[in-house]
Amino acid sequence: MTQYAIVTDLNRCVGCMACMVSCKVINDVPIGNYWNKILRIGPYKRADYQKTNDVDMYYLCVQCQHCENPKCVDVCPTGASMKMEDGTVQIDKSKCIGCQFCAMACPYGVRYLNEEERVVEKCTLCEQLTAQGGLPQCVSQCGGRARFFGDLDAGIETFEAPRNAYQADRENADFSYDQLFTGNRITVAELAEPYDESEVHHLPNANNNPNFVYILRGREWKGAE
Amino acid sequence: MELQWPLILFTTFVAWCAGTFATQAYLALRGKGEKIQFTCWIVSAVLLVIGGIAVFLHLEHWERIFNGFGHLTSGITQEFIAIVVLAVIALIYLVMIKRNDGKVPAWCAICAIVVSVALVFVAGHSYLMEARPAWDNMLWVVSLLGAGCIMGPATVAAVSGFMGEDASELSPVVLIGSIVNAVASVAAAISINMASVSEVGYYYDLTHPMKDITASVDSLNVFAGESALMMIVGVLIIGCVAPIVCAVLGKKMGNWKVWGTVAAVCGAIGAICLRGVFYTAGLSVFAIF
Repeated sequence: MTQYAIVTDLNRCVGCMACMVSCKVINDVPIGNYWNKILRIGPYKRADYQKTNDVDMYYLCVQCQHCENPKCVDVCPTGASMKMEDGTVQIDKSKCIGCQFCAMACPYGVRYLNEEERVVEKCTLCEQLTAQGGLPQCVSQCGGRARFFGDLDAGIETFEAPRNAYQADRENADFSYDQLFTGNRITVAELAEPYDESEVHHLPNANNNPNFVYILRGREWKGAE
Repeated sequence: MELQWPLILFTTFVAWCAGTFATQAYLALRGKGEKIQFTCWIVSAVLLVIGGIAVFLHLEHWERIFNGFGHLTSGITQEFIAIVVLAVIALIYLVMIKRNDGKVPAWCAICAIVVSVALVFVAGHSYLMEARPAWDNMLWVVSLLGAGCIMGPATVAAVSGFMGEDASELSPVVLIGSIVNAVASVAAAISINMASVSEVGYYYDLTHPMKDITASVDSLNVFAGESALMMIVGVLIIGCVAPIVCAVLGKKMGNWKVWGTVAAVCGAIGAICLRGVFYTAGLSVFAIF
């Protein structure tokens, strides 16, 4: 059984929004809709707060969590929302009647109505790229190398990001970004600073068991899990 | 969450339709109201049609409506099945009315009551979502049943009044229904205040740069802020107190043409306002959304 997901090392995230923008570009996400968005959590006082700059904050990337028990799938009357064999939750837009119950049943506000097509859309985990062995665009374009893609069943240490940043091959007139999502990989185990289990988090669980993983070291995770 | 008017109207009119149908079936069980049975049936059918039209307006692709309804875990599918069952029972009920001059066999009347309650239950149950703590409470289902308990009997009493029939049989039903509605509505509203969500303190959503950075959970207090007017005037005064007053006055004065109509309309306004409060409190368990 496969369960594709994304691990975000929040200590590496610089809030550049490259994930948010690249997602919109590659997936043609309508204006006003965000399949992937950045929240700034905080500032909040540290536990040992004494003076005004004893505060912390972190950026949190929120998108479809491709849950283990997706409530959006349960409430969909037509079966348009479905859990796939690779563990991702996908929408068959030709079946969607636009009732938006899935958006209500989702705790993370990551499902949007495409007002032109009048169907609900969300993060597909860039299945058009991953099906070809590539990485989701938010992972390959991450400015802080904070995001890693992989199969949860193989462990988050195996999750991958591009090893090097984009470099145009001018001699061969190759200006494509392919090098960012095929080959050229680095794993969480290779790149991430050490962390322990208490520093591995998930978004609040409303019995949907979100699969995306967030690593946050040395700071207080805000909100329940 | 924004008010979802088509869904607010759908649930209200479904409760109204079911309440009316169940009340006329109650009369049939008691061997009363033969002359008003057909009119009540028409009223009930019209209410269901209005609710149906309202919910179609909510769908972005209603022409794909038959794409599915095979997905049984979906509340919409369950509602659809319940409506079809109610429609079948209603048609049988109509045949009985026409065949027996308004007399309906007990089995048919009992089926009508059961399927009416089931429809309201299913319609309310669709919104029990763990993602939205303020909604995830059976009291919301009970409140919708309560709305049916006042709107239905009051409507049938009003029909009796307009048709010059004796509605004394319904006096206690309207009174009890209005009290049940009031208690259920207040209980559901209070359940919102008891809901808890996961708070993160200050936050900044880059997709909503002008939004307040405090993750406000004020919408979970229905007696203050955005919901206060709708709750106090719409639900408590118009939706809860007024129908009880109408029920008492109707019983005392016997003028159900007026008091039945006012009670039904007030009950409907109260039910709509309560659903408005419901949506306003539809904060996610992750309080940011």
